[in-house]
Amino acid sequence: MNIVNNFSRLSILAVILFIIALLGYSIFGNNNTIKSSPLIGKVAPNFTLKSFDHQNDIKLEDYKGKVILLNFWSSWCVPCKEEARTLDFAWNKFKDDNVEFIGINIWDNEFQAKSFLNNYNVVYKNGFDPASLVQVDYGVAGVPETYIINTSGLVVEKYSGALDLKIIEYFIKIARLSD
Amino acid sequence: MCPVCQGQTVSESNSNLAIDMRLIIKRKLEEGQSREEILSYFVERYGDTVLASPPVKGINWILWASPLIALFIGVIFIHFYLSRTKEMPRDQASSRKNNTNEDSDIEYKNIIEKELKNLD
Repeated sequence: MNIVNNFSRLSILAVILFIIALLGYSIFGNNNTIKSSPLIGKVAPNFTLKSFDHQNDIKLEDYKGKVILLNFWSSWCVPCKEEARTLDFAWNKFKDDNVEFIGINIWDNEFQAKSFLNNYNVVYKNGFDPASLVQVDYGVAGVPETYIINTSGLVVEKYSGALDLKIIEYFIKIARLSD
Repeated sequence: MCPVCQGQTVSESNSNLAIDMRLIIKRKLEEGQSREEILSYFVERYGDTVLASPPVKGINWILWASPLIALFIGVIFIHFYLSRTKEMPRDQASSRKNNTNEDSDIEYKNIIEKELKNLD
């Protein structure tokens, strides 16, 4: 009888613990901002953007051989505003170091986007995709999202959320190491 | 499923991303791509979580097997519980019932005696 009672209790406890473990995983398991992406290790999807300065289109393939920091942003996005000055600072630090920063504006309008770029004095390349394909091509689910591409054209990391200088430095370092 | 709006499909969601995804699906259908090709396109970019039904592979088998496992455990639990009830001898069962009756009788007698004393 005791064995039956113990088995029943243990079974119930096992089921409860199992459910708690599943819930915990679903809530906390994917909370990292350095997110896994199915694109990591794969060739970065090519794109052609319309530049905000209405000059030459921005084509990813033109920057092969450089470490590329690809940043998806929107003018209405609060973390995008938080990271704008950091990105500008980092760009000035790395621009002569075989690194390219490309900003891709999504889910926005041209006027608001240009105002954002002016307000934050963003000078690195920024453009938008009139076909709205590039963000889906990269598996973007929100803004800001940043992808690091190494000199071989492979995606090495994805980051969701506002960047800080240490993270940018870390990403550039691992992109170089991955070549 | 929409990667932005949890629990909503791409057709249900009004997020910007869902709108973009519907546009891409429409274009790919017009290009003649199959359902599998279109799903594969999104899985390559968003992972298996973009599918409404997760494929039965890797850790996903837990999602599919857990209702059956829970049912199995429940059936075993009920079986053992019913077995325990059946095994209990009748005289023990009636003896427990009689003891309960005696206890309530004693309590009832005490109440009556107390009431009688109050009347005196």
